[in-house]
Amino acid sequence: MKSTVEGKLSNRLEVNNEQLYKLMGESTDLVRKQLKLGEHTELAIFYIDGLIDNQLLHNSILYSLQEGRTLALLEEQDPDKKIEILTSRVLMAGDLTVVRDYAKFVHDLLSGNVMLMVEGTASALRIGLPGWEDRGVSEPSSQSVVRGPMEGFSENLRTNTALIRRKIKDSQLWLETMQIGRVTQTSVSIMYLSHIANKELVQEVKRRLNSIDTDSILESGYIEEFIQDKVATPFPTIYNSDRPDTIAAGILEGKVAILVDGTPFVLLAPTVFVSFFQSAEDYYQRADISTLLRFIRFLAFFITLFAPAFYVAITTFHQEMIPTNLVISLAAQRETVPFPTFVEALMMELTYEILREAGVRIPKNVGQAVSIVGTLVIGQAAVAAGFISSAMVIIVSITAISSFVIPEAGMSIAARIIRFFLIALAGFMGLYGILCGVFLVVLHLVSLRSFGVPYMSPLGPFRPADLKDSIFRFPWPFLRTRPQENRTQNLYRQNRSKRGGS
Amino acid sequence: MTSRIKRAVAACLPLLLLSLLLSGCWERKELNELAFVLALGFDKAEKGYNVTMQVVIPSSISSQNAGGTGGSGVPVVVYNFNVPTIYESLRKFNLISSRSPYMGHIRVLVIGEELAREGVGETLDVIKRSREPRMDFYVMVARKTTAENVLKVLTPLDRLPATKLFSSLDKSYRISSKTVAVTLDKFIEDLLYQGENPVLTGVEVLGDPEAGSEKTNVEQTDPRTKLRYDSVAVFKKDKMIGWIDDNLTIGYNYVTDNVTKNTGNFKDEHGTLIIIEALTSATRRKVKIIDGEPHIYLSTEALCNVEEIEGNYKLDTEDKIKLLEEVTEDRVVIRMKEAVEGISKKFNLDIFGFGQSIYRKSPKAWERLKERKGEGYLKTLHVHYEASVTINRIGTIDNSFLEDIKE
Repeated sequence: MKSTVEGKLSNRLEVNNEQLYKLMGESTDLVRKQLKLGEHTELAIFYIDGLIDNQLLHNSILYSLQEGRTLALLEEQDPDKKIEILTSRVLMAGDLTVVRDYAKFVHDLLSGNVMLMVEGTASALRIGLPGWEDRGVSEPSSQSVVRGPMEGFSENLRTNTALIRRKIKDSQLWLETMQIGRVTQTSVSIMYLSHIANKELVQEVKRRLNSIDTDSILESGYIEEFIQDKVATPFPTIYNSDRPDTIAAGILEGKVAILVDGTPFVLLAPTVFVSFFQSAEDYYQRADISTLLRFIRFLAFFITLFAPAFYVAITTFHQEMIPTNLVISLAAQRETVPFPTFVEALMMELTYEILREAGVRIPKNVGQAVSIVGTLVIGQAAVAAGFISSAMVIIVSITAISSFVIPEAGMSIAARIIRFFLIALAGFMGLYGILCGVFLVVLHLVSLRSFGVPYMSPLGPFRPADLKDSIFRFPWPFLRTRPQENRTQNLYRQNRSKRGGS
Repeated sequence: MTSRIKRAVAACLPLLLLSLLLSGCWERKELNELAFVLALGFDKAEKGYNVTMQVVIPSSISSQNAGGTGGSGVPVVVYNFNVPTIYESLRKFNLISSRSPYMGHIRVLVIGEELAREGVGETLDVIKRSREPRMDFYVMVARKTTAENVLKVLTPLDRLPATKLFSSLDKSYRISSKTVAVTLDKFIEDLLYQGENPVLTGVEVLGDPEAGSEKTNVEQTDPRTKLRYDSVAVFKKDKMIGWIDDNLTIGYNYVTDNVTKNTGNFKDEHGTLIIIEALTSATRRKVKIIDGEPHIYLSTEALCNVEEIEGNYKLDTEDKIKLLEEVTEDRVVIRMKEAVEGISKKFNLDIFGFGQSIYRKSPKAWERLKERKGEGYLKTLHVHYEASVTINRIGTIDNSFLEDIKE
């Protein structure tokens, strides 16, 4: 971590002041307040307006400084002693440290601290009074559930760590923080259970985080791309969530959470393929329905991947596979369509992707217009005009709907990308092409690793014991062990089932 | 150095994948470039064959009236080719049609009686050899007419005549056992097995085939021309020999364990007609070699319902139902016996596959049998019949209401 600010603080207030102006320019939100207590005590307070709690500053700091008692205490003391007295006997704030160099001084200043200096000392007192406008804890937007906690992470790192601490009240839940980003100086914290998480894993996460050298980290996505095992892959190899319960569950399985200041999305590493098909709700609902839902999610994933490619393949290469009545009906629909099925499929998929992207970006009050254009023009008029066949509309719709079933957006993005690749192969070579594509995708998947953990585990290296909470979700009394792939220090999370009921 | 070679090889390997694309688009056919042949008909012509293809017109079938004739024209078009070989018809097809014939969806193959009597073996090779058709369509013989006439007739309800022929046969053999549903695969199999001869259902045109080809045929409550399954053609290997009627067909189906449902009737001592239907039936066939002579044991197990009583027969005691069961058992045995004896008398042809069963049990016995008796072994073959019938239900009433009618 490099900083352009060098050197120690001076013991002259004026020098410090000048130096500060040199470093920060005429930034208008830098507030500098000089106080004179009695004859001999000159103090200066620096803070960034908007980053600190003004009310607290006035009520506790300024108020206590100007009390008569303070004056008496500070009178006739030498400057270094004054700092000590201020720390121990005057200021009520809890978070106080002494700072001696510019680098630290400026960093603290910019992180929402009030800096207090006394004329004649080469040190400053940092008073932690952070307080800025903040969205607060609200419902998570990306992975909503019917049953389960409705709180989600916010942009504030401290709020986020607190949300996790409130779930895991254990002294072994360790939190380590570092600053990443030469310019942004973003706080990045890792949280893990020190008696469960694999020690080498924690070391590896720290090593990878420390080796990031960039000027800015604005979101956890930056970190994700810097620390992932393989860059050239459409599949996400690090899990992210804005749900504290999901992250807490991950930590309890021996994973490491990476929290980044300024974003509600927290990373979880290592991660495996099947975890993208699990929703927090799976663990709150009964096991049977959770298992069924997981099957449905896998099915939806396969539909998203294969439906259009399969349609293209069997209608252009394998007509004998379609039941006679259906093939006649399909042929009738295609009667007026001027394009080959492959072009038709590509066109419709692209149209859908455009509509979807437009839907994200469009202002709310014109959103209605887009949906009318989307449904009426694309869905009905195009079919009526004989531009595309209605079967293709059905295929594209089921594909689109299925892509939203996958709980984590990253995996459905992967499916959307691979889909186009498969459509092209199907258009060239039919089912044989799809099979080639599947081979490539599977080969790629089994070659992936996330922090050393095989991505397809527990299917890739087959671990039957771990199937209990991957494709299936067994009832809680049977989920005795943590997933083996995390190589935790402590495999067992509960004793052989002692159920309350009998 | 080695690492550089390795890298170069690694860079070239993906290029190999490109060779996969070389086969690209091979055999690619859009749905609207295909003429789906739903039914195929073979007839004898003066020179070579007369091949008939019934091709569906998709736009007239679909409810979606996008272009085309829009659901109002005839649903199929029938093409006829006079060709020296069957395959030639596929090549002549495009002379009169804009689309290429696609054989993957054939539902039925109709063979004209004349051709059938002359032998069909040569004509089937092209279908078996081609990779397009699936072998699960039904084969039938056009009785007293040509395949062309059969395929011309338009049918109501099922707008596609080929589908009608397919489903009608599929249901009739299940519900009445008066037909035999033989797929091309089964037919060719029966040709190949020794000690077994194939059979095919016959299909008849009732009425004038020319009138049946007009659209007005399906615009009447009683169509002038209809297609009906009637009789079963008996083959001696690939040559048709003659026809057998309903009763023999039912017996044949019992013997070959093809009965799903079948209805039978008999009269009691007062002349009351009682109709009993078999719901499920299974016939087991055992071959025993006794004193060097093969014996066939047929035992049928059937579950039956009483469906109709035309008189005062009372069903209120268990004895009576027991009695009914016994009578039904006799009836099933007689059916089988009549079929075997009737066919051996009329044709002396083993369509039941007894020879094949003997061969499977003991190839030596089969050789001996053939040596001693030649083709006509069926006449003197020992066949033993047995039936066990359970009457399951007698319907919602016990005794007929007829006796309660007061003058």
